[in-house]
Amino acid sequence: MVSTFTSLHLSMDPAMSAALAALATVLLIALLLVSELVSTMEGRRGLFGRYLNVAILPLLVAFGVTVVLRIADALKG
Amino acid sequence: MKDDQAQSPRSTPIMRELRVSSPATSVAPAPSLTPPADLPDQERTVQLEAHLTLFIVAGLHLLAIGLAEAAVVWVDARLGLALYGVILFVLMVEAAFDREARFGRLCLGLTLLPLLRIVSLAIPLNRLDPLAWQLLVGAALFLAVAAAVHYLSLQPWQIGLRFELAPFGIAFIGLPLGLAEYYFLQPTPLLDAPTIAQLAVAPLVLILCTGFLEELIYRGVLLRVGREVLGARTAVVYVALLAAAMQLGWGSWQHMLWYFSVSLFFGWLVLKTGEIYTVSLTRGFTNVVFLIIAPLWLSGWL
Repeated sequence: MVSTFTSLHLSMDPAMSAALAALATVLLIALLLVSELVSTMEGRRGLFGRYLNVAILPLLVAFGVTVVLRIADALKG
Repeated sequence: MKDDQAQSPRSTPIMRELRVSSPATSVAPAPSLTPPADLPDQERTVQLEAHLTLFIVAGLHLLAIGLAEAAVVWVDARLGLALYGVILFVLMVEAAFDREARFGRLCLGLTLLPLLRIVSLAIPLNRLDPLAWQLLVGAALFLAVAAAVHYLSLQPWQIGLRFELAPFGIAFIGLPLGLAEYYFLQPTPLLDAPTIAQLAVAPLVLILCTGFLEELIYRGVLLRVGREVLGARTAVVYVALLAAAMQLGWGSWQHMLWYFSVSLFFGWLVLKTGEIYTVSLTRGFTNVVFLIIAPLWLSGWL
Protein backbone atom coordinates (compact mmCIF):
# COMPACT_ATOMS: atom_id res chain seq x y z
CA MET A 1 0.00 0.00 0.00
CA VAL A 2 2.62 2.47 -1.11
CA SER A 3 1.71 5.32 -3.44
CA THR A 4 4.96 7.27 -3.24
CA PHE A 5 6.81 4.66 -5.23
CA THR A 6 5.83 1.74 -7.41
CA SER A 7 7.66 -0.96 -9.35
CA LEU A 8 8.11 1.70 -12.05
CA HIS A 9 10.29 3.75 -9.70
CA LEU A 10 12.31 0.69 -8.78
CA SER A 11 13.17 -0.07 -12.39
CA MET A 12 13.84 3.45 -13.71
CA ASP A 13 17.11 4.12 -15.56
CA PRO A 14 19.36 7.10 -14.65
CA ALA A 15 18.72 8.98 -17.92
CA MET A 16 14.97 8.95 -17.34
CA SER A 17 15.47 10.03 -13.73
CA ALA A 18 17.56 13.00 -14.87
CA ALA A 19 14.92 13.99 -17.44
CA LEU A 20 12.17 13.84 -14.82
CA ALA A 21 14.20 15.94 -12.39
CA ALA A 22 14.74 18.50 -15.15
CA LEU A 23 11.02 18.58 -15.96
CA ALA A 24 10.16 19.08 -12.31
CA THR A 25 12.63 21.97 -12.19
CA VAL A 26 10.96 23.57 -15.23
CA LEU A 27 7.59 23.19 -13.49
CA LEU A 28 9.00 24.80 -10.34
CA ILE A 29 10.34 27.76 -12.33
CA ALA A 30 6.97 28.19 -14.08
CA LEU A 31 5.12 28.15 -10.77
CA LEU A 32 7.58 30.63 -9.25
CA LEU A 33 7.10 32.99 -12.21
CA VAL A 34 3.31 32.83 -11.96
CA SER A 35 3.52 33.27 -8.20
CA GLU A 36 5.69 36.35 -8.66
CA LEU A 37 3.29 37.79 -11.26
CA VAL A 38 0.22 37.45 -9.06
CA SER A 39 1.90 38.15 -5.72
CA THR A 40 0.92 41.83 -5.69
CA MET A 41 -2.65 41.22 -6.73
CA GLU A 42 -5.61 41.07 -4.42
CA GLY A 43 -8.78 39.01 -4.30
CA ARG A 44 -8.92 35.65 -5.98
CA ARG A 45 -5.71 36.21 -7.93
CA GLY A 46 -3.87 36.87 -4.68
CA LEU A 47 -5.46 33.73 -3.27
CA PHE A 48 -4.22 31.82 -6.31
CA GLY A 49 -0.70 33.12 -5.64
CA ARG A 50 -0.87 31.88 -2.05
CA TYR A 51 -2.24 28.49 -3.09
CA LEU A 52 0.76 28.06 -5.39
CA ASN A 53 2.90 27.73 -2.26
CA VAL A 54 1.35 24.30 -1.70
CA ALA A 55 3.14 23.15 -4.87
CA ILE A 56 6.24 25.31 -4.65
CA LEU A 57 7.38 24.10 -1.21
CA PRO A 58 7.72 20.37 -2.05
CA LEU A 59 9.16 21.13 -5.49
CA LEU A 60 11.84 23.27 -3.83
CA VAL A 61 12.82 20.26 -1.71
CA ALA A 62 13.00 18.08 -4.84
CA PHE A 63 15.09 20.75 -6.58
CA GLY A 64 17.43 20.96 -3.58
CA VAL A 65 17.99 17.19 -3.68
CA THR A 66 18.68 17.34 -7.43
CA VAL A 67 21.27 20.10 -6.94
CA VAL A 68 23.00 18.24 -4.09
CA LEU A 69 23.20 15.07 -6.20
CA ARG A 70 24.65 17.06 -9.12
CA ILE A 71 27.27 18.62 -6.86
CA ALA A 72 28.10 15.17 -5.47
CA ASP A 73 28.54 13.90 -9.05
CA ALA A 74 30.78 16.83 -9.93
CA LEU A 75 32.95 16.31 -6.85
CA LYS A 76 33.36 12.64 -7.69
CA GLY A 77 34.60 13.72 -11.12
CA MET B 1 -28.05 9.14 -2.45
CA LYS B 2 -28.86 10.49 0.92
CA ASP B 3 -26.10 11.01 3.39
CA ASP B 4 -28.26 9.26 5.96
CA GLN B 5 -25.38 7.83 7.95
CA ALA B 6 -24.54 11.21 9.40
CA GLN B 7 -28.16 12.19 9.88
CA SER B 8 -29.41 8.99 11.45
CA PRO B 9 -30.06 8.90 15.21
CA ARG B 10 -27.55 6.05 15.36
CA SER B 11 -24.68 8.27 14.12
CA THR B 12 -21.95 8.75 16.70
CA PRO B 13 -21.15 12.14 18.28
CA ILE B 14 -17.82 12.13 16.45
CA MET B 15 -19.52 11.66 13.11
CA ARG B 16 -21.89 14.52 13.83
CA GLU B 17 -18.98 16.67 15.04
CA LEU B 18 -16.98 15.92 11.92
CA ARG B 19 -19.75 17.36 9.80
CA VAL B 20 -19.39 20.76 11.40
CA SER B 21 -17.00 23.05 9.61
CA SER B 22 -14.25 24.85 11.39
CA PRO B 23 -15.17 28.34 12.61
CA ALA B 24 -12.22 29.59 10.56
CA THR B 25 -13.86 28.51 7.33
CA SER B 26 -16.84 30.01 5.62
CA VAL B 27 -17.90 26.68 4.19
CA ALA B 28 -21.39 25.41 4.80
CA PRO B 29 -21.92 21.95 6.34
CA ALA B 30 -21.81 18.97 4.01
CA PRO B 31 -24.80 18.91 1.70
CA SER B 32 -27.59 16.42 1.87
CA LEU B 33 -27.60 14.97 -1.62
CA THR B 34 -31.36 14.68 -1.75
CA PRO B 35 -33.19 18.02 -1.63
CA PRO B 36 -35.75 18.43 1.17
CA ALA B 37 -39.20 17.12 0.28
CA ASP B 38 -40.90 20.47 0.96
CA LEU B 39 -38.96 22.28 -1.81
CA PRO B 40 -40.90 23.26 -4.95
CA ASP B 41 -40.26 20.95 -7.88
CA GLN B 42 -38.32 23.57 -9.83
CA GLU B 43 -35.94 24.24 -6.93
CA ARG B 44 -35.50 20.52 -6.35
CA THR B 45 -34.53 20.10 -9.99
CA VAL B 46 -32.03 22.97 -9.77
CA GLN B 47 -30.46 21.50 -6.62
CA LEU B 48 -30.25 18.04 -8.11
CA GLU B 49 -28.66 19.45 -11.25
CA ALA B 50 -26.11 21.35 -9.15
CA HIS B 51 -25.23 18.18 -7.22
CA LEU B 52 -25.04 16.16 -10.40
CA THR B 53 -22.69 18.73 -11.94
CA LEU B 54 -20.42 18.57 -8.89
CA PHE B 55 -20.39 14.76 -9.10
CA ILE B 56 -19.53 14.84 -12.79
CA VAL B 57 -16.75 17.40 -12.36
CA ALA B 58 -15.32 15.49 -9.38
CA GLY B 59 -15.44 12.35 -11.55
CA LEU B 60 -13.60 14.15 -14.34
CA HIS B 61 -10.86 15.11 -11.91
CA LEU B 62 -10.55 11.48 -10.88
CA LEU B 63 -10.38 10.49 -14.55
CA ALA B 64 -7.69 13.10 -15.27
CA ILE B 65 -5.53 11.87 -12.41
CA GLY B 66 -6.06 8.27 -13.52
CA LEU B 67 -5.06 9.14 -17.10
CA ALA B 68 -1.92 10.97 -15.96
CA GLU B 69 -0.95 7.99 -13.82
CA ALA B 70 -1.61 5.67 -16.77
CA ALA B 71 0.60 7.88 -18.94
CA VAL B 72 3.39 7.65 -16.34
CA VAL B 73 3.14 3.87 -16.25
CA TRP B 74 2.33 2.85 -19.83
CA VAL B 75 3.31 5.68 -22.18
CA ASP B 76 6.24 7.76 -20.92
CA ALA B 77 6.99 8.94 -17.42
CA ARG B 78 7.99 12.38 -18.83
CA LEU B 79 4.60 12.77 -20.52
CA GLY B 80 2.90 11.66 -17.31
CA LEU B 81 4.83 14.19 -15.26
CA ALA B 82 3.97 16.95 -17.74
CA LEU B 83 0.28 15.96 -17.54
CA TYR B 84 0.45 16.01 -13.76
CA GLY B 85 1.98 19.51 -14.01
CA VAL B 86 -0.97 20.69 -16.10
CA ILE B 87 -3.48 19.05 -13.74
CA LEU B 88 -1.75 20.65 -10.77
CA PHE B 89 -2.01 24.10 -12.33
CA VAL B 90 -5.65 23.63 -13.33
CA LEU B 91 -6.56 22.43 -9.83
CA MET B 92 -4.84 25.49 -8.32
CA VAL B 93 -6.80 27.79 -10.65
CA GLU B 94 -10.06 26.00 -9.82
CA ALA B 95 -9.30 26.16 -6.10
CA ALA B 96 -8.80 29.92 -6.22
CA PHE B 97 -11.45 30.93 -8.74
CA ASP B 98 -14.27 28.43 -8.23
CA ARG B 99 -17.46 30.13 -7.08
CA GLU B 100 -18.55 27.02 -5.22
CA ALA B 101 -16.21 27.34 -2.21
CA ARG B 102 -16.61 23.70 -1.22
CA PHE B 103 -15.54 22.49 -4.63
CA GLY B 104 -12.54 24.82 -4.58
CA ARG B 105 -11.51 23.22 -1.30
CA LEU B 106 -11.74 19.77 -2.87
CA CYS B 107 -9.55 20.97 -5.75
CA LEU B 108 -6.93 22.31 -3.34
CA GLY B 109 -6.96 18.95 -1.53
CA LEU B 110 -6.64 17.11 -4.84
CA THR B 111 -3.44 19.02 -5.69
CA LEU B 112 -1.68 16.75 -3.19
CA LEU B 113 -1.98 13.78 -5.57
CA PRO B 114 -0.20 15.33 -8.58
CA LEU B 115 2.38 16.64 -6.13
CA LEU B 116 2.86 13.18 -4.65
CA ARG B 117 3.68 11.75 -8.05
CA ILE B 118 5.73 14.72 -9.33
CA VAL B 119 7.93 14.79 -6.22
CA SER B 120 8.35 11.01 -6.17
CA LEU B 121 9.43 11.05 -9.83
CA ALA B 122 11.67 14.11 -9.49
CA ILE B 123 13.75 12.70 -6.64
CA PRO B 124 15.65 9.76 -8.16
CA LEU B 125 15.15 6.54 -6.21
CA ASN B 126 18.03 4.81 -7.99
CA ARG B 127 20.57 7.39 -6.76
CA LEU B 128 19.71 7.27 -3.07
CA ASP B 129 19.35 4.80 -0.23
CA PRO B 130 15.65 3.77 -0.28
CA LEU B 131 15.13 4.90 3.31
CA ALA B 132 16.77 8.28 2.69
CA TRP B 133 14.60 8.61 -0.43
CA GLN B 134 11.46 7.91 1.58
CA LEU B 135 12.45 10.50 4.17
CA LEU B 136 13.16 13.18 1.54
CA VAL B 137 9.95 12.54 -0.41
CA GLY B 138 8.07 12.35 2.88
CA ALA B 139 9.50 15.67 4.10
CA ALA B 140 8.55 17.38 0.83
CA LEU B 141 5.01 16.03 0.95
CA PHE B 142 4.54 16.81 4.64
CA LEU B 143 5.33 20.42 3.71
CA ALA B 144 2.69 20.33 0.97
CA VAL B 145 0.10 18.81 3.33
CA ALA B 146 0.89 21.40 6.01
CA ALA B 147 0.46 24.23 3.50
CA ALA B 148 -2.79 22.77 2.14
CA VAL B 149 -4.20 22.26 5.65
CA HIS B 150 -3.25 25.86 6.48
CA TYR B 151 -4.98 27.31 3.40
CA LEU B 152 -8.01 25.06 3.95
CA SER B 153 -8.23 26.36 7.55
CA LEU B 154 -8.57 22.81 8.83
CA GLN B 155 -8.07 22.04 12.50
CA PRO B 156 -6.06 18.91 13.45
CA TRP B 157 -9.17 17.08 14.71
CA GLN B 158 -10.89 17.71 11.38
CA ILE B 159 -8.24 15.67 9.56
CA GLY B 160 -8.34 12.85 12.07
CA LEU B 161 -5.43 13.87 14.29
CA ARG B 162 -7.10 12.85 17.54
CA PHE B 163 -6.49 9.94 19.85
CA GLU B 164 -9.99 9.46 21.23
CA LEU B 165 -11.60 6.08 20.60
CA ALA B 166 -8.58 4.85 18.64
CA PRO B 167 -8.92 1.06 18.27
CA PHE B 168 -5.19 0.48 17.78
CA GLY B 169 -5.59 -3.32 17.96
CA ILE B 170 -7.08 -3.23 14.45
CA ALA B 171 -3.66 -2.13 13.18
CA PHE B 172 -2.39 -5.71 13.49
CA ILE B 173 -4.52 -6.74 10.52
CA GLY B 174 -1.76 -4.93 8.63
CA LEU B 175 0.39 -8.04 9.06
CA PRO B 176 -1.83 -10.39 7.00
CA LEU B 177 -2.62 -7.50 4.62
CA GLY B 178 1.13 -7.12 4.00
CA LEU B 179 1.46 -10.82 3.22
CA ALA B 180 -1.50 -10.60 0.84
CA GLU B 181 0.05 -7.61 -0.91
CA TYR B 182 3.37 -9.42 -1.21
CA TYR B 183 1.51 -12.37 -2.73
CA PHE B 184 0.01 -10.03 -5.37
CA LEU B 185 3.11 -8.04 -6.26
CA GLN B 186 6.28 -9.82 -5.09
CA PRO B 187 8.44 -6.67 -5.36
CA THR B 188 12.21 -6.61 -5.27
CA PRO B 189 13.31 -6.23 -1.64
CA LEU B 190 13.61 -2.64 -0.48
CA LEU B 191 16.73 -3.62 1.50
CA ASP B 192 18.93 -6.35 -0.01
CA ALA B 193 21.20 -7.25 2.89
CA PRO B 194 20.22 -4.81 5.60
CA THR B 195 22.28 -3.94 8.65
CA ILE B 196 20.75 -4.14 12.12
CA ALA B 197 20.53 -0.32 12.15
CA GLN B 198 18.64 -0.33 8.85
CA LEU B 199 16.28 -3.01 10.14
CA ALA B 200 15.59 -0.88 13.20
CA VAL B 201 15.03 2.36 11.31
CA ALA B 202 13.20 1.06 8.22
CA PRO B 203 9.89 0.20 9.96
CA LEU B 204 9.76 3.65 11.56
CA VAL B 205 10.43 5.35 8.23
CA LEU B 206 7.79 3.25 6.45
CA ILE B 207 5.19 3.83 9.16
CA LEU B 208 5.82 7.59 9.14
CA CYS B 209 6.46 8.28 5.45
CA THR B 210 4.11 5.80 3.81
CA GLY B 211 1.58 4.88 6.51
CA PHE B 212 0.96 8.16 8.26
CA LEU B 213 1.74 10.50 5.37
CA GLU B 214 -0.44 8.74 2.81
CA GLU B 215 -3.32 8.29 5.20
CA LEU B 216 -3.03 11.96 6.15
CA ILE B 217 -3.45 12.78 2.45
CA TYR B 218 -6.20 10.27 1.61
CA ARG B 219 -8.24 9.77 4.76
CA GLY B 220 -7.19 13.03 6.42
CA VAL B 221 -7.36 15.90 3.94
CA LEU B 222 -9.08 14.36 0.89
CA LEU B 223 -11.82 12.56 2.81
CA ARG B 224 -12.50 15.71 4.80
CA VAL B 225 -12.84 18.05 1.82
CA GLY B 226 -14.46 15.33 -0.28
CA ARG B 227 -17.32 14.86 2.15
CA GLU B 228 -18.00 18.60 2.11
CA VAL B 229 -18.85 18.22 -1.59
CA LEU B 230 -19.98 14.64 -2.05
CA GLY B 231 -21.27 13.55 1.34
CA ALA B 232 -19.60 11.01 3.62
CA ARG B 233 -20.32 7.72 1.87
CA THR B 234 -19.64 8.92 -1.65
CA ALA B 235 -16.45 10.62 -0.46
CA VAL B 236 -15.19 7.33 0.98
CA VAL B 237 -15.71 5.65 -2.41
CA TYR B 238 -14.24 8.64 -4.28
CA VAL B 239 -11.09 8.71 -2.15
CA ALA B 240 -10.73 4.93 -2.43
CA LEU B 241 -10.89 5.25 -6.24
CA LEU B 242 -8.26 8.00 -6.17
CA ALA B 243 -6.01 5.90 -3.93
CA ALA B 244 -6.44 2.87 -6.20
CA ALA B 245 -5.61 4.98 -9.26
CA MET B 246 -2.30 5.97 -7.67
CA GLN B 247 -1.41 2.26 -7.45
CA LEU B 248 -1.44 1.76 -11.25
CA GLY B 249 2.36 1.71 -11.31
CA TRP B 250 2.46 -1.64 -9.53
CA GLY B 251 0.92 -3.10 -12.69
CA SER B 252 -1.62 -5.47 -11.17
CA TRP B 253 -5.39 -5.13 -11.55
CA GLN B 254 -5.98 -7.66 -8.79
CA HIS B 255 -3.85 -5.56 -6.49
CA MET B 256 -5.78 -2.41 -7.44
CA LEU B 257 -9.11 -4.08 -6.68
CA TRP B 258 -7.76 -5.43 -3.40
CA TYR B 259 -6.37 -2.01 -2.51
CA PHE B 260 -9.67 -0.34 -3.42
CA SER B 261 -11.49 -2.69 -1.03
CA VAL B 262 -8.98 -2.01 1.75
CA SER B 263 -9.35 1.74 1.13
CA LEU B 264 -13.13 1.46 1.50
CA PHE B 265 -12.60 -0.26 4.84
CA PHE B 266 -10.11 2.42 5.91
CA GLY B 267 -12.55 5.17 4.93
CA TRP B 268 -15.38 3.51 6.84
CA LEU B 269 -13.12 3.11 9.89
CA VAL B 270 -12.09 6.77 9.80
CA LEU B 271 -15.75 7.82 9.57
CA LYS B 272 -16.56 5.62 12.55
CA THR B 273 -13.66 6.65 14.79
CA GLY B 274 -12.87 10.15 13.56
CA GLU B 275 -9.10 9.49 13.72
CA ILE B 276 -6.48 8.35 11.23
CA TYR B 277 -3.83 6.89 13.56
CA THR B 278 -5.29 3.38 13.44
CA VAL B 279 -5.41 3.25 9.64
CA SER B 280 -1.93 4.84 9.48
CA LEU B 281 -0.50 2.12 11.70
CA THR B 282 -2.35 -0.56 9.73
CA ARG B 283 -0.95 0.78 6.49
CA GLY B 284 2.51 1.12 8.05
CA PHE B 285 2.49 -2.49 9.29
CA THR B 286 1.27 -3.65 5.89
CA ASN B 287 4.16 -1.91 4.16
CA VAL B 288 6.73 -3.20 6.66
CA VAL B 289 5.62 -6.80 5.97
CA PHE B 290 5.23 -6.16 2.22
CA LEU B 291 8.57 -4.44 1.62
CA ILE B 292 10.87 -5.76 4.34
CA ILE B 293 9.77 -8.82 6.30
CA ALA B 294 8.19 -10.95 3.54
CA PRO B 295 10.98 -10.47 0.94
CA LEU B 296 13.74 -11.09 3.48
CA TRP B 297 11.95 -14.07 4.95
CA LEU B 298 11.32 -15.73 1.59
CA SER B 299 14.89 -15.06 0.43
CA GLY B 300 16.11 -16.90 3.53
CA TRP B 301 17.75 -13.81 5.02
CA LEU B 302 15.51 -13.81 8.11
